[in-house]
Amino acid sequence: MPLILVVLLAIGALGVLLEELHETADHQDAGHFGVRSLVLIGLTVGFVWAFEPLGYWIATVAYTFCVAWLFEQERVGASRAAQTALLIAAGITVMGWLFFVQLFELFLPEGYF
Amino acid sequence: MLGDLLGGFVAITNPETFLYLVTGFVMGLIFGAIPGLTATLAIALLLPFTFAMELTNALVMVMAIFMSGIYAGSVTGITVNIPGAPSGAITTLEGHALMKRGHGAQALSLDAFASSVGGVLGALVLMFVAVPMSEFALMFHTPDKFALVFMAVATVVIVAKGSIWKSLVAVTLGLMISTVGFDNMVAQGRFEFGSANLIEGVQLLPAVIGLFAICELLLQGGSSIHDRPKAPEFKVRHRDFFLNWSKVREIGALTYLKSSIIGVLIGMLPGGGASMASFVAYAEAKRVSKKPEEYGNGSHEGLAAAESANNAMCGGAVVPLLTLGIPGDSVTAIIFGVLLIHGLVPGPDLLISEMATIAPMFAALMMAAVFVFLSVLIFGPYYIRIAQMNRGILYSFIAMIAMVGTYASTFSVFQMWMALFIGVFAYLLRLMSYPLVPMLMGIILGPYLELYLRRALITSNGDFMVFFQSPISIGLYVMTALFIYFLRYRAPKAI
Repeated sequence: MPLILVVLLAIGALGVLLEELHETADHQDAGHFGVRSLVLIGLTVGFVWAFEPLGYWIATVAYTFCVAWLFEQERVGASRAAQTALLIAAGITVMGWLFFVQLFELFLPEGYF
Repeated sequence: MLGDLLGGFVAITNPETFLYLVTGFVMGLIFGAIPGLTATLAIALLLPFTFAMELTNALVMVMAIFMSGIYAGSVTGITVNIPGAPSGAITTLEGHALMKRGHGAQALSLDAFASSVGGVLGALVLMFVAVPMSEFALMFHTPDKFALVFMAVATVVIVAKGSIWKSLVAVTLGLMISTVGFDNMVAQGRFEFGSANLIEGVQLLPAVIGLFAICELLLQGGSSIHDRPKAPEFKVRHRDFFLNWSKVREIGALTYLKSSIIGVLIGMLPGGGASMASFVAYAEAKRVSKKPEEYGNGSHEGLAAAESANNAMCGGAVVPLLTLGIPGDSVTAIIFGVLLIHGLVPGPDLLISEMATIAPMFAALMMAAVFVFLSVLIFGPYYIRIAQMNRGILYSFIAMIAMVGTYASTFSVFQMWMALFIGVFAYLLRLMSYPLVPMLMGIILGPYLELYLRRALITSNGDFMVFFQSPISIGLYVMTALFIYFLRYRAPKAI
């Protein structure tokens, strides 16, 4: 099976290459690249890395604050976004805890620092 | 069977289950109405919670999200000319044209009515076709099952939007991912690189979260606040949503019925989806219309046809999942996961042995369809504000649920890494216009494709003719060839 898949992938890749060379490729549906996407990847890497050591509360507040700020600063400016992002982060973290721990009785790490 | 179906309706009258139905309905509305977000994403985010939920509640909620999410895609389409979901594109074409001519209120109410009619008819077909189809599927032998999965994989490649080659690459990548881990025929790991975490393979949860939640978050990172739909420039009142029955009569019961049947049939087709259903029903309605010149300029008939088919598709899409064990699109693929999480294996035996467990799902689909019209009458003016939701709240919520949900359901940081890795990979693919649904289908169907292929070859001592000996197999290959012909080379080009 893996060998068949390698052949299939090669055929598909060749087709894509020919489309690009003949300039018949369709890029209408392509997503947009943004620096914010890279920052979001970095933030999520940091969140996963720190999730167990810092615990749910600290890691999630920090992560959701940064994500909310990234989107909010575009709307209300950097300093005002910090205030709204803090409120959003607090609200979402509490809501997450209520959902996961209180309602569905799932385990979330408390951190070991 | 009728007793079980009625039992399903009784089950959703339980206050707790009903609350899940309403919550799912609201979630679907929000995610369906916001451009870029979809019902698939809402169901993907729900997946981690289903580990701790009762199966009935989980299925009811998923069905409600599915139905309302498909409907909601058209609300912002009609009002601000930006469809919340791709399936609302045709409705947007006709609905927004009506809006510009001052008939927006009619468009919104006809849209909701058509969605309800289509949704109810789709749910009825599901209820009465699923069991006979399951009984037929029990006759399938291993080579027939291979032919069936092959048909699903081939059709998903064919119907995906854009380049067929990119779709082929995406499905192959999904199939490749599915080969990671324990070989299902011999007791040996494959491509696990000595990692104990990879020996079990790539699990469905991080795959779904990565492909739909993380990827979408990263894509939204690249969008600007200016891409968000503006608030409509007119005031919408409750009475605008009251239905104009003379228009309904003008459209005719046949248009609703035929479009719904088209929607159900396309829903049953692997990879069919709401976009294709609305497109084909719209093209057919235009073909037989007495006023074809109105199409594209605000046709009530076109709007009703597209929207009936859209929501009827929901019932049809569940049929192959429950009867054959083949998910046809991303939503049913996630429902597949929900059933597996609760120890139920989708396939011919499921409805015959577990009809009472599954019946609330049918009832929920029908109730959600009825809710569409009722809720529009009550909350209609507020629906069009959904797309204005604060992006900071929305995306930090999605990020939190996606990552914490993955951890909470698996107790594993490794699965969080896996979801992130798949999400970034999917994001890169989307930047280059590769479709993601074929990839998910590859991940889900890969193990079955390989299992049936190898099992059939073992029992036939390596004779490949085993795949062409049964009438069912031959019928399925002929259907695959017909799908390729009609969906790729003879696809309607009416718009």
